[in-house]
Amino acid sequence: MSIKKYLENVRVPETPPGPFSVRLKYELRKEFFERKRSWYPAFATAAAAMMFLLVMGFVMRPDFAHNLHYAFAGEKEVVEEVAQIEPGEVMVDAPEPFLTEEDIYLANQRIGNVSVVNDSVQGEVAGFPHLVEGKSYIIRRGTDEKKGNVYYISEVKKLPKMY
Amino acid sequence: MDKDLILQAKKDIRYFDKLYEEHFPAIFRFVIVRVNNRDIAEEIVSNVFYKAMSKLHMFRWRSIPFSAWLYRIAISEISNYFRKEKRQRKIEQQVFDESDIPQEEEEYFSYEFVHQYIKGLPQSDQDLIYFRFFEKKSFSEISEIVGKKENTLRVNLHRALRKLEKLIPEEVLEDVYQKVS
Repeated sequence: MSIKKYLENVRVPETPPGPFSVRLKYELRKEFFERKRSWYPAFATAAAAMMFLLVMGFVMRPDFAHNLHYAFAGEKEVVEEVAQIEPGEVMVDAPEPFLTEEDIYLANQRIGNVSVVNDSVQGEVAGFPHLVEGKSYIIRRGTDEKKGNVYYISEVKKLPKMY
Repeated sequence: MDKDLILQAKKDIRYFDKLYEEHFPAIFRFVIVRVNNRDIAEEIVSNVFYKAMSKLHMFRWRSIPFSAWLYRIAISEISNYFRKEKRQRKIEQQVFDESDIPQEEEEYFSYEFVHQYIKGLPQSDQDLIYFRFFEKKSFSEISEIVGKKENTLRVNLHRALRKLEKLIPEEVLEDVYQKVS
């Protein structure tokens, strides 16, 4: 004989949970589902709106992406604005010319050294039959052991214009 | 079935309701029988389901079924309760009334009588006796819940019954033996 036989015939009384079952279920639903549902749509809507605005910004203002990039990734690149002038319009703040007057002066001085009007070579080439008046030439002078001075004469078809 | 239910219950409130309805009664019955106090049982069952729902995303259908997982949480919560409060023997409120048992079923013996001695056993022995005799679970099912081998459980149960017999006074035990014989 043992207690085992007794235990096999014991019946545990029914203990209905009553309203506690419903109350706990309600609290669990509130804790794990309703809270999630309350913030989730608001967050999703806000995120979607932000993405839409960002994409529209990229489409409508491409430099926005450029600025955004330099805002995070490095220094902003300076982009000079090019003024567009209508025909006949006077530009008040005219951009500086590519060559200054000083540049032109110096350039003319250098060209002058190789010009036919250079006094130092004028006498030497004045009697050359190949030279035609009114045309421009570039004359380079070399020295040959047997012949002495040798002149290389190239005709310049088109001279650069200086302003 | 339960597996699909759990996967859906993680995100769909309707499936959560089904899961709750399916498992709540067994867990509540287990806890209230073990603590024998309605208020405490409600507190513990609340903790069990809160923890289960919080960790539902971590539950993987591998070694044990969902019901066994819930029982494990419940066992842990009950142990925590008794360990922290050390008031197992101070519980005065009795939730069971002998009148709960239908009078015509005279072949059933008093739960109240045996419970006063069972609660003197270690927690693991109480769990084992509850699952085996009151929930009529197989050793295989108990093995899934408590995480021990079936043979070990058989030996443990045998020892638990011997301990229980020692807790019951001899003259009372004689009376019990007479009743069952």
